[in-house]
Amino acid sequence: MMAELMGKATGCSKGKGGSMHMFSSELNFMGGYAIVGGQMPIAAGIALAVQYRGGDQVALCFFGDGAVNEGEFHEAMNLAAIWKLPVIFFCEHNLYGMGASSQETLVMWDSLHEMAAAYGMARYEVDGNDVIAVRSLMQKVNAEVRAGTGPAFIVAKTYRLRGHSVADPANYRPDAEVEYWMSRDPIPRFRDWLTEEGIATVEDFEEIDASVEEEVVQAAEFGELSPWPAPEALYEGVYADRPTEGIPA
Amino acid sequence: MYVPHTFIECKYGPELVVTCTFRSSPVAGSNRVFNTPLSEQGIVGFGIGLATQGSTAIAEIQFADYIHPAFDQVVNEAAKYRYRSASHYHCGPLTVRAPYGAVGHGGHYHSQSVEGFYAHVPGIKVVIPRGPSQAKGLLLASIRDQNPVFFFEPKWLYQAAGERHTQLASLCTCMQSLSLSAGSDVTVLGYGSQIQILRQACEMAQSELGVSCELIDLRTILPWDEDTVIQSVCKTGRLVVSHEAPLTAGFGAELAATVQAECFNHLEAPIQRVCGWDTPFPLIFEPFYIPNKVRCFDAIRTVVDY
Repeated sequence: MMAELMGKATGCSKGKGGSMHMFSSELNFMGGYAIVGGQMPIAAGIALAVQYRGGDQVALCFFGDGAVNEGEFHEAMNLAAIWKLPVIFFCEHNLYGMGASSQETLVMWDSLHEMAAAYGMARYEVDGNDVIAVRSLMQKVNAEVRAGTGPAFIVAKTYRLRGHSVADPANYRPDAEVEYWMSRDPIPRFRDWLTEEGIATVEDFEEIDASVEEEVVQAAEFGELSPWPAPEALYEGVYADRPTEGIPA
Repeated sequence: MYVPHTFIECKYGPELVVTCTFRSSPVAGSNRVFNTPLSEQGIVGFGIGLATQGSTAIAEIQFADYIHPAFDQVVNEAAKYRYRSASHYHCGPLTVRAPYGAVGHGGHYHSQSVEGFYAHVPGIKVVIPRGPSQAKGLLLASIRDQNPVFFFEPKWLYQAAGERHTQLASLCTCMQSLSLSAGSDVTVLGYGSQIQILRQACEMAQSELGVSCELIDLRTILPWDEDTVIQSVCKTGRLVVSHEAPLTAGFGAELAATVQAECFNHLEAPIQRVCGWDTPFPLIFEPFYIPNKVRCFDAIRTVVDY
């Protein structure tokens, strides 16, 4: 991953994908999509492939509330519903689509999961910043979809703590709003819960932090020391049967 | 006209789920053959998803004029899937079929030639057959191709009489261009339904001017067979290109630019492009719009008389 972020040849997409396009066939991870909404009909197609072969996998499709305004969202929802495809459309509703608040741009922003009613689809709303709540819901919905009840739409309510990208200082948000959501940050919240429940201790977390930091440092070093892709890699993967064209004159 | 798109899957091989369009008798297995809603973008994206799982999927779009809502899926997903994932995943088993071109009464939205738009997208292939036998062979080749292929069928020919299979070799898997007649005076280049027109123009040129034409059917628009065309024009020194799509930035522009770069010293005359006029495809003006055999013949005469 780190090498991919740095555009190195040892990256998971050989440096060709970057931060937005990491894939893993071992993990059935179909990657990231730069075009908002592009992944949705694709997810429906993947679900049909599973269903056709009698498999029991579920396609899990992530997107933000901004994507709900794309035409493809509606097309994919309808396709999944009429054919009862095993796909979960999972919306991370963080109240902003790039620089626009969903309150201003999405008429159903406050009860987003109800949009699935238009497609006769099972729909759920959950506190996206509550690790246990999300986990429990996913276990339930996963089991239902796997059993063949048809697709489901989950809206996980959360917040985008930073800007849309490193280029976005997100000055369009009131400070009080940001502070409110900072206090609901799921990770410290979960840590506190685990400590209170006696499941883990402060020392456990310090140990985890240290070992993860070490892992990240090593990954960064690996990325730094890795070679750049060769110039010929520019033409690799354009077509299946022409692996490399070489550099044009 | 409200017509549902037909998205048919039929299984005819191990681990193959093939989607093909079907107009007459039903095929067994409604899980393999089914209609879709009117959702072009959704249909193409859906086909991409199927294909990434190794299923051979063929999506039909009722008219090529309607494929543009899916343009984003074509350009930003299908064409880049293999490239951006370094071949972790790809949608090679996808084929998208659509009828294209003038039909005599189609007007603005049932007559368009769209190959020029899709020829501009590295990562997909664009294939256009000139007749029924070619369609069969090229479609099978397109299905088997491990890249996403956009297959545009001349709709005018659906209404023409059937074509006799002259050779079983029409089931070739080769998508390269094909020389239909050897000639020495001028290379005439086209694809799809235009080949019928060009054939007539070449016959006129032979009988009225004594001009020997080398007619080439490009068959695959992207990637196109430069070697065959360049070799031919270096021999004849003259080129006439023709397509129904509008002149400006039509695919003929790519052909002309490449040929002039590669055959400059051999050219005896400027390259002629005989194309649709730069207007939306008209309704009542269709006979004036399309590059008919007379216009093509005139272009041949122009390069020969230059």
